[in-house]
Amino acid sequence: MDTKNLILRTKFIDRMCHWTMVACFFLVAMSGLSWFFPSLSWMNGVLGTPQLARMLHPFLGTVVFVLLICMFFRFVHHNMPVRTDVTWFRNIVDVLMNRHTKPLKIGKYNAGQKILFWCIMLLISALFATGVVAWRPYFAGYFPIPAIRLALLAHSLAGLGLSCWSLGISIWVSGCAGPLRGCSQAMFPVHGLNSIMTAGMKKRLHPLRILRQSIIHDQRPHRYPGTR
Amino acid sequence: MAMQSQDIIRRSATNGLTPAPQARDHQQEVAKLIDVSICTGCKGCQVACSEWNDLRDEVGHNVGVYDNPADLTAETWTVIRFDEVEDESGRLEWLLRKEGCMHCEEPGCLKACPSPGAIVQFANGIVDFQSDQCIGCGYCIAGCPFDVPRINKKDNKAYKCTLCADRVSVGQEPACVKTCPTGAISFGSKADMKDLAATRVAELKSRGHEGAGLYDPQGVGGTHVMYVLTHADKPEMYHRLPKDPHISRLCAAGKNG
Repeated sequence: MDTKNLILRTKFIDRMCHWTMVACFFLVAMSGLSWFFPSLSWMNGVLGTPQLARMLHPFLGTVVFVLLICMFFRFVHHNMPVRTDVTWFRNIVDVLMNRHTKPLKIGKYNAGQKILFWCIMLLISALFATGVVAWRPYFAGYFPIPAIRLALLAHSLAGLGLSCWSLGISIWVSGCAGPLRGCSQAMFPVHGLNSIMTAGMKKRLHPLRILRQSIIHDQRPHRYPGTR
Repeated sequence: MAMQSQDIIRRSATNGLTPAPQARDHQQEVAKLIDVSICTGCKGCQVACSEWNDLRDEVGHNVGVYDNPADLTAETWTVIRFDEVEDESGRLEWLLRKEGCMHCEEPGCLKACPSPGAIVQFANGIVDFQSDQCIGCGYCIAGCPFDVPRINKKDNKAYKCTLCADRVSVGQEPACVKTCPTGAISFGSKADMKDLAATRVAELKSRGHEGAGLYDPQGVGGTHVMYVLTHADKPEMYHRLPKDPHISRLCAAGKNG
């Protein structure tokens, strides 16, 4: 395979961090949903007996949170809102229809991905905070019962929201969404080359980064037309 | 208390499509009636409870009140509460209440429990924890309107009064009823206990206790442990006994079904 025109999008360490988090989240979400919908109580079998599942759930949830914090510090600078995000929103229909006619002036992440980033940060932080309040036998005893009730409700809603959200996004990104198909390749862990994109994809999806890189590293042989 | 039972009318985390075994549910609803006006606070019921149920709680400390142990624990399922109150005329009154599980007709613990079959309600009204099914999540604690269940640190399981389900199933009264030296605790069918309570309340009223009445809160569908209170109009005086307990809406929403 000719790798000359391929660009590394996500470093190995970041992809490992992301996928370890996803694996843990899968286990945590399965057990958590089993307690919200008791008819699905078989789902906590992914963690062994119901008792073991209950014991491991908060620890694995903490692993998810810690990895999320690592991801936060590594990716937050790509996800700060900038003025050009408005352009993406204005052209949302074209984006969804996979029509790449106008230059959208996108950096590493488009505005939709930034919203995804911040929502996930918010939901997992909320899950961690409310989970600690309800965590027996270690922490729940320090909180009054009305606070625990509130925490359990918020935990359920946030967990349900995040499960639907991540399930929906995963299906969308990996299958249906033309404009985002590259995202799943960017993070896919199995093969090293999958974390790369072609120069053409980059031109189409991340013109601003090309511009910046070509200015900073002047050794790049050519500049793409249509990017300023 | 795990017992082979075919008279279960409610089972935690189980929907109506798969009901619990209930071929033998032709049972009378039972109730324990505690008359606080006769209680002397001797704590005989606490001792009898520990003895029958093989509970050996740690010996605690005097925290400046007569409540001993200071609170319900996983190994203390009933505690006599002592509350000193002053009425409008400045007269001091000592209010005693035997605290423990109220065995609600609509149990908040059972509603909140996410572990199938860890909490059951028998046809006679007793709400019982099947501790081998307990996962130790503590949702029952959040679901209980009376702050009764406690998690045991030794095994991470929730415990509370069983209303001596094992004794009752073979036609005996609970251990606390059996031992109470003043007869402040009675046990029988719920209808009989309500009749008995009506007699006691009338007697208390005739002695000038205008606020006397039966505590059988309807917010939880009534309870299978009832009190005759001399101040039934102000139950909060008896160690924060809730005036209108009900299952928290937050809790009901926090677990689906």
